[in-house]
Amino acid sequence: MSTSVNAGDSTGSAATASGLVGQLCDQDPQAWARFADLYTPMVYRWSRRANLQMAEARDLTVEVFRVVSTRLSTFTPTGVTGSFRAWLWEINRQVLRRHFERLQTEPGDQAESTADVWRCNVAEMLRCDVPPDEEEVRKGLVFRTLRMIRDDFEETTWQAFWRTTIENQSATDVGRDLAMTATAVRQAKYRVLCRMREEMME
Amino acid sequence: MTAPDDSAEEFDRELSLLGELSQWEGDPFELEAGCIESVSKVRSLSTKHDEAEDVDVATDIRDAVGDLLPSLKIGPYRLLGHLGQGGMGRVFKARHERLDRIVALKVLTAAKQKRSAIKRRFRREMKALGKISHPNIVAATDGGIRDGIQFLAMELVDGVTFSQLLRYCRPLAIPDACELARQTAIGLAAAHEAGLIHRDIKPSNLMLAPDHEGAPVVKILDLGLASICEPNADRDELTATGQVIGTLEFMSPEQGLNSRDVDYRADIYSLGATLTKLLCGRTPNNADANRTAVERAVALTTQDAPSISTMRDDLPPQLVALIDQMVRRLPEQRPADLNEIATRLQPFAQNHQLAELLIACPKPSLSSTGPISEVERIGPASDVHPVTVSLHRSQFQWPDRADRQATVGLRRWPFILAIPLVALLAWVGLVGNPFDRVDPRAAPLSGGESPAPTQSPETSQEAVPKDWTAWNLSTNLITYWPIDAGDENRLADRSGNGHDVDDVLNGRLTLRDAAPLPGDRASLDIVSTAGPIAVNPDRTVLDDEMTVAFWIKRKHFVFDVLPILRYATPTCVFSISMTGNTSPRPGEIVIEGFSESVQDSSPPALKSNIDAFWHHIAVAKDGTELRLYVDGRLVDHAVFDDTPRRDDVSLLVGAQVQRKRVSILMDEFILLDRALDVDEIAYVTQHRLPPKPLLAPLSQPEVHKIRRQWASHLGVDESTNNSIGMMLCLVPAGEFTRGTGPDELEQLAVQDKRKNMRDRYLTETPAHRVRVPLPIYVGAMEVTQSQYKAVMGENPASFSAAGEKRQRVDGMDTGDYPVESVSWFDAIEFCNRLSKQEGLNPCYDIRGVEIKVLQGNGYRLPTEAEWEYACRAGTDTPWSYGEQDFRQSSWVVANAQEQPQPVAQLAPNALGLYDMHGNVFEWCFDFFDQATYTECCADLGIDPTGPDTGTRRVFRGGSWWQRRPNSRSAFRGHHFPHFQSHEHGFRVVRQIGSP
Repeated sequence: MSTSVNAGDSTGSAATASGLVGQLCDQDPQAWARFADLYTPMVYRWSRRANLQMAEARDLTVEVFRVVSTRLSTFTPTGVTGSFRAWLWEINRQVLRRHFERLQTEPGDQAESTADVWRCNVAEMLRCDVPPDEEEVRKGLVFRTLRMIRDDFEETTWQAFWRTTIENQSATDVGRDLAMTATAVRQAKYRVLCRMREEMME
Repeated sequence: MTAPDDSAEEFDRELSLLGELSQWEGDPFELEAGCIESVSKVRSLSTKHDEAEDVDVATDIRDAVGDLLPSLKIGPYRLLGHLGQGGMGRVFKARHERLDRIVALKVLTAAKQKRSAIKRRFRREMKALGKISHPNIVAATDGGIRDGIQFLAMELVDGVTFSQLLRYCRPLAIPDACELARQTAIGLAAAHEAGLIHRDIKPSNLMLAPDHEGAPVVKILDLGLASICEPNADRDELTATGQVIGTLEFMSPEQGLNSRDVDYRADIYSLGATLTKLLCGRTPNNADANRTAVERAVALTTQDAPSISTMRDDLPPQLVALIDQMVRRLPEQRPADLNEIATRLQPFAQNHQLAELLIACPKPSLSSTGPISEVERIGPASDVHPVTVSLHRSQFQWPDRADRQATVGLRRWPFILAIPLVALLAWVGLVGNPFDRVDPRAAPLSGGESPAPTQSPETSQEAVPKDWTAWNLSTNLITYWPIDAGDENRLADRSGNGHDVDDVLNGRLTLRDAAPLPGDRASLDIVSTAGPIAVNPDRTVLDDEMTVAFWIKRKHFVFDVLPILRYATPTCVFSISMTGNTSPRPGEIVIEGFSESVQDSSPPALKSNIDAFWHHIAVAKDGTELRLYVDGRLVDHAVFDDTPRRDDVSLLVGAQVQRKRVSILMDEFILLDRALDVDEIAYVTQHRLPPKPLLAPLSQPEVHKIRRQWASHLGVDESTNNSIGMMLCLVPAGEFTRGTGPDELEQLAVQDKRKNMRDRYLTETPAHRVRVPLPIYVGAMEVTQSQYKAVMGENPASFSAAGEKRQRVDGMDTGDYPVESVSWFDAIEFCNRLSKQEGLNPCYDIRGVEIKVLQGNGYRLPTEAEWEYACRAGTDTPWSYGEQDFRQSSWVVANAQEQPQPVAQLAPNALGLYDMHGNVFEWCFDFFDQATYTECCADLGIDPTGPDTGTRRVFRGGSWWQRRPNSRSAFRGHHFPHFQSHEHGFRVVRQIGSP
């Protein structure tokens, strides 16, 4: 399989990569687990959107991450919005394409018919540089991030955050329920947001 | 979200998403089993990516990128490969960077970090192992916590476990077995001197390995459960939860009863049991094959195990005496000193041939999967998990075959109406293919070489299913034929080996119903008057060992000789026939083993009578032995002739219809290239109960459909009324996620801020998968006051004309109100009386406060698991109805006007059950223990019945006086069984199959 993503640019980039990617390059085992938790559902979703059955999607997802794990050091931050996601999509595209090609070359009617499905519906999606379902995918990632950092906070802090941010209640109302001042509510919200940002930006 | 490198501006965009999250319903794909599996697989990727697991991909990546994957480090150890999942964490092969030493590194996995009990046990293990150094004990070299990860480095032993030895050679020769036991005894003696009890001595925890000079030496693995015997050590903490540590088969009776008071003599028992297994292939408590494991364990608490001489008759009397003494029921009657045992074993161990055995027994490391298969060398979990045993379990068993036969007349098979030929009923697995299948090209089966013999035995142990999709027998699978979803006119082999069905002459396959979707069951008629379907397998893959298994059902019990399968290897043949008369009497399944070259000699035939119910038939052929299993039980076996014969006979599968009026449903045909054993076949059957079970989460229409299928399968109504006018609804067998997941817990925290409630909710965690293996009838409503009175002759309810709260219901007929103010004891008394009233066998033996569970077919209280399963009715949300619909579905304090309400006023759940959430609390059978969930979450729980002992009983559902969070499906309440309150009632369940 040919690489199309930054394959030639493997020097020096790891040093500049910050946050999660950097930690992954540093072989922080917990970083990989976090990374897996956050991004696996996204990649899996892409495969499912490509009309794959659950088991196939699962196998391909794992394959994508196997490739990712070898190439993390080649990822170059470009400063472009969502570039890491785009990078993952690029790898995913490659893996899907290869799966598709393999199906075509495999003998047997069943493979043929699956291949047909691919030709008709999925080629379009694969041609696109931008990952599909952008909005949904982003929500999913934010949601999983929140779930991940949930346990780092006190009960009230989290509620202050949740109700003001997600449920759009006013700080005063929330403060009354939680026996906090509005300022404290805002501070709580700020703390969670900082943590979230840290998690997402790191 | 954002790429880690993104700008602050990007983050602001994500912030704007937060407001939308409240309306967001979640990513549907994220909840799929495939996705969940993906996450866990990806998580484990980082540590085993450099193993050539999938040669294709690995090569590809290397070609493309030109470098190997960066591997992970824990402290000074670089992880080289994943060896296995042990009882206490994962085991890696690792190298100490500075010392350049290869070790086995035991690591607490991230997901388990929070489970403090395991953590404590892990710490204990580190402490314990550090204290000891002995040639017969796997040495710990290092341990600690780095970056929040706890690890323990141990000597990496390159050998074979005793269970592998047994697989290779069973039983062992007397000197070999005695030498293994002798060395184990010496190692154990050293452990005991250091104050350590192993507590889990069994064949898979003992390993034979060459020492540095090549001499065979026994290594005791996994002193992980050892607790420290010093009086001031915190051993109470370890066992205070009352859990049973150890593996049942090898566990001493006192350990089964109370692991707290176990001393070093428990290890002596386990060693005796292990030695028995080595010599006889069975354990002492297994001597009586007709009883369940739990029954045997219970029996052992009151009597000594039968002498080993009943299992093997060529043992020297002194050896018999020694072994019998070691497995005595009372610890004080066992030999007191392990060194003495070693000395007494010495004479029998003369001239052992362990060195030869070690060389001959294939090592897992020789197989192609490399380090993965080293699981067996290190981890205990690949074999048998330490069990948490519920001694109630056996008492809840469903009727045996005799009972089922009695109800034959009720069964009917409405699906198939066609001119009966052969019908195949297949199950298109949940994910298209229920086998967690590896790339078919990676499987050795099609390649012509037979798989390494060592792979088979322990792979099967690893194949112990965690859930439906993880059932993995792929390495031994030859064919697997569900209906192919893609092509309705083909029977396609989904094993990846391409043994598709040949075209049937003059025949064709047609589906009765519309094309099935993945996950659907579909029935199929093979419209063919020609011969059986022929499979022409690649001859080289068919070995002398194989198992054929399939489900067979009969529409009517009228059938004639039907060769279902004819199998030929170059040396031998066997065929399976169904025989019977054209009468509604039970018929016979006959397996014939024969050699065509000597057809005139009378072939041995295995026989078993079968009734008209469905059955799982399996035939295992192991060398020259042929075994017949019906429903996972060995019913007959024979040695048969394997005179060489010509090798061009193909495998024939199908049914040759010789006369009309024959109808067979053959479901999910499986062919495996090794001889499965009884336990393994039991696993197969357990997972293939037709029709499709209710695997939550499912939509309401799907739940209805599944229930309909079960009703017609069982020949019962979906709902029925009993003698006192109580409506009972059929609840199919199935699986659900019990307990409260993190999301629900978060939600709860928002709804209920009381600190003490949070602790209470935590007893509902962790959420875990539970299987309810058999269908039951569940009362559609809570037991009403009039029903209670009809059975018990009194009405204790507070909200009744004579009750404490009579002014609240003044002038009203409260007969349809749920009975309340009944204790748990009242509830089970009610069950028994109702059973008797209907001529059923009671489920409880009640003697004062001593309650014994009987194998009755009458009424009983639901177990906690059954209750929640019925309550959820396929949903996985906090309530079985929509969040906002509570007024239509449940009586809680917000709408019940501070009193119970007549039953069945509000909407039922998808299974037709009323008032599950609210009105009155409902007693369940189980004892309460807050740790129940923590202990059973590691694996799929099958029909859990709660702790063996306790002081409090569980109640479920909410009440008219409770807030909504307490009426959730997962909510668990508990109180003393004598407790009576105007909030507490109950509902009953009854097994299916009774009239």
